[in-house]
Amino acid sequence: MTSMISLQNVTRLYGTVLGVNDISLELPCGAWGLLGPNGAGKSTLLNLLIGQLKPTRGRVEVLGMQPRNNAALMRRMGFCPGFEGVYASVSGLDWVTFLLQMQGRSTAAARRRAIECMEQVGMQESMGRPIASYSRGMRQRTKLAQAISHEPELLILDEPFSGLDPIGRSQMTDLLRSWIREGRSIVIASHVLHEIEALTQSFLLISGGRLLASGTSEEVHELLYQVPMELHLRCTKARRIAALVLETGLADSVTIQPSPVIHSEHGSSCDLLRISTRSAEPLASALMNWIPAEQVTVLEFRTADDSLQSLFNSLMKIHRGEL
Amino acid sequence: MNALLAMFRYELRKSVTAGRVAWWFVLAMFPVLITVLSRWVQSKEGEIQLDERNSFWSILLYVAIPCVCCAMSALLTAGPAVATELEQRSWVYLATRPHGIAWLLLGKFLVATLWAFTAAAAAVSLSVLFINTPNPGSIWLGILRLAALAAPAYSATYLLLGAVFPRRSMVFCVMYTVGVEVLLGSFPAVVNRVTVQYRLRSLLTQWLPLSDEIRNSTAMQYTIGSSSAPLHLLCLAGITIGFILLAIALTRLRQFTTAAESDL
Repeated sequence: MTSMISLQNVTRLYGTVLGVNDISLELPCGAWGLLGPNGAGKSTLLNLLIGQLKPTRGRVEVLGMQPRNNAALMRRMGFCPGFEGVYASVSGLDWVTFLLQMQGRSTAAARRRAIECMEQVGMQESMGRPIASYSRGMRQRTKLAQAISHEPELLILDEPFSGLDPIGRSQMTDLLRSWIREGRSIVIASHVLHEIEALTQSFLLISGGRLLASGTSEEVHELLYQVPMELHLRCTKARRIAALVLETGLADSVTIQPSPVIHSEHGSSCDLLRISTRSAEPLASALMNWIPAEQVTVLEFRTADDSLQSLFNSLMKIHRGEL
Repeated sequence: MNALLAMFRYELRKSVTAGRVAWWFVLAMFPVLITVLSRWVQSKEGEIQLDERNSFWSILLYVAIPCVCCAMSALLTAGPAVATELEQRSWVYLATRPHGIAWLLLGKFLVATLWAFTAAAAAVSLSVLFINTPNPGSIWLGILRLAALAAPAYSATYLLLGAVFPRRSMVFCVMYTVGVEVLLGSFPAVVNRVTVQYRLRSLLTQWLPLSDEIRNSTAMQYTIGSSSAPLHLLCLAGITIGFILLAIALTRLRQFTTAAESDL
């Protein structure tokens, strides 16, 4: 069976700068999240998939075809870019109708389908208004409408949640979930794990132009637990907790930052405990036992940095042989 | 064909802006103003002799309408065809449609031709009302025919320049107009045959009522071709179609990414 996406030793250079570095992968049909920090090479990879860029080396195939200047593939693929680029002076309905006509549909058929799609993305009330008057969320939904309007087999989305408020995010998630439920394929690029996690359990992790890892949500979380991480715990009895952590050997280092603020209920200070660990999961489990047992009051418990970014940094170090 | 029609309608609708309409009026009124000024000067300095009037008005309207009005209008519309889409970051929506970029360029070419030709048609139709010649009809028809050829030829030329130089396309279009069409086109050498000007000027001497004195003048002998009108028409059609195809081929070869700022 033909893969949905097949990359063979794909490298893309911008002059001397590496956009994508020797990526090989075979993706079957389904929903895939492309995760990576800003500048990881996600957009370059998407541009290679939609045929806007030619690989400097290697071979790209999407739905069994090379994407560059491929009209047949463009009928089977929908793309929603991360930026806007919509014509402000026309209405959303006219814009989607026009883009459907560009797919070869007659004016009447394009209009009917455009209305359906605008309704599907919840734009029935505003579809006749000029795009200039739309909010960011409405524009995102209109962009999604143009991408799904010709009923493509594969939908490629670049940062679809970017700039959306929580309600907009929730609506976009629902829309994409219903798309996936229909059994269609999708590739979503994002730098925020939980956004993609709400849609799919299959991930590709990319950083520095390299494919660092791929797998399910559980596997990504497993990786997250395995990488060095700094936990911040602001609580009472910080010294006692620090001693327990050091006794178990689960931490690489522990520092206590005293706080001048006295907790009103307990009459003691809530110091900040910084714990560096390579065993986040067992340490978190142990903390969950110690906190009630020692009658500790916790004001704050979080990771010091963006855990996904830590994962990418660690994976890069592993890739370079530094870890 | 439906895609091309849709693109044409969409581009035409997008192009109807206050600024564009104002430019259309300026370009359409420029030849009329020149005509009225010439008549006013003649009324002060004395009328041109009857047998020279046809030549005078033919050449004046030729310069003002196909050469200035059509070329300028085409430059303003077709020149930034690629750059506008890249700057607005709307390129990718069309590039991910089947043959989307070809339809885009063809649609922009048709719109540029329409704007240029309608401005020229309005200009010549109004200008002939002010000329003092016994047969304004033949001048009107001759200039209109030249405008009908100049509009698509210049639109295709500027479309190609816009595709070759998406960054600062207008600057390159102006440089081309001055350097190639005006200077090289007037140069008395074989090299001037590659210009649109050369073909239009050759047709001018065949289609408009010029006096034999002007037609056989040394300047004309060196800057026009002695070929038949059908051959000049064929060359203009070749330039128009060839430049459009070249523009499409170039944009298919070039790699414009979704990060439009890096393309420009």
